[in-house]
Amino acid sequence: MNQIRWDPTLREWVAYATHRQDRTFLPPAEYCPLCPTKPGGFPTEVPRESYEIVVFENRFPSFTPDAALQDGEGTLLTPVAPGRGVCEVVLYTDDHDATLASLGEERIRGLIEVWADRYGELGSREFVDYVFIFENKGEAIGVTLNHPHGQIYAYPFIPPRPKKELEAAHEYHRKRGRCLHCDIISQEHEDGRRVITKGEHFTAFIPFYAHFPYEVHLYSRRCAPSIQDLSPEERWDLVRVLKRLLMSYDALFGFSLPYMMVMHQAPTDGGDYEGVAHFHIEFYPPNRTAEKLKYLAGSETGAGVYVMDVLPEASAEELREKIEDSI
Amino acid sequence: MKKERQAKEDGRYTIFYTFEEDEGGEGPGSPGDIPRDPEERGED
Repeated sequence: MNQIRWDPTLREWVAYATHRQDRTFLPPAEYCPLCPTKPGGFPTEVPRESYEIVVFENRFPSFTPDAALQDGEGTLLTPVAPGRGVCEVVLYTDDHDATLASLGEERIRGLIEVWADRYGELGSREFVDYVFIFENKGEAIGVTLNHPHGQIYAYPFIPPRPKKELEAAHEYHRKRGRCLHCDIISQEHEDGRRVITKGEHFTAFIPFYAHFPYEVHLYSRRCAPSIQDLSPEERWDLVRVLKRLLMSYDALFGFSLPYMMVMHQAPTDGGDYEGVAHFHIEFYPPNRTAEKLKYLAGSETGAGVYVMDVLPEASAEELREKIEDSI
Repeated sequence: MKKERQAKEDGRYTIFYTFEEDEGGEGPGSPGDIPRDPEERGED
């Protein structure tokens, strides 16, 4: 069952996919469903002995292309709609023990091609308004499979957080005639204290208003609306800046840092987002120290107010030092 | 980049992506020269 229910108090959709309760939960490595299928071994999701990058439809999707509604559900106050969309899994490599940080540059470059391809293909479907590319990494985030992989949700609506961001950027563009995100990057470059690393075309920084201690935003310097709009040179630069950032993350506490990685880019609902949507990647690691996590507790969850224990300037300095140490 | 689509028995699809050596143009530097920060090279 895939359906979305409207919350009129927050004016947002909530997705219900009850079959997900039965999904595979942290199987032992020898029974990983994302590894290649070995001769004589159990059949995994990938019916080949080896692979480079693989995309497949999630077996336990939050949204499906053929979702339908049963009669009698929903009211005028709380309408329901089919949970119509697409959920894909992106396997970065057939090496079960790898991470995005440990992949070679060529493979990360290939991954960017795949992300761009999926953005284009899924976004072209009539019922898809937003292609959301993300990765949940680490058991602290709640991953159920440790094999290096990301996910893509092709939503039938623009999800609330990107929508709020787009509305702010649209309003800013209307009043000032400039891209909000371009001005944020300019301010970060001028200040410099929160910049982690930068290349020719991309900059990684902890935003002035970070919601997590080591939250990093990786911005395209050019106002490219989506990953598909990046030139080959920009894609290579993204590889290098991304790799440096991930290496600094893993050096931070001496273990592979859990994180949520999400991409914000132009919706695919047919609207005009030129000068408003600005491709960028956001990382939210849950750790505030090696042993302690930042929990989304009462104030964060119930009031929407994040309370931080550390200033972004201090966290940025720590991550910069880790990059310098690796030279 | 090559893309090969295959159907699963339950109707879901799988897409296999493969890549040629040096595909997508040569990278903007040798693989071992990270980090490359323009400020370190006196650029802005």
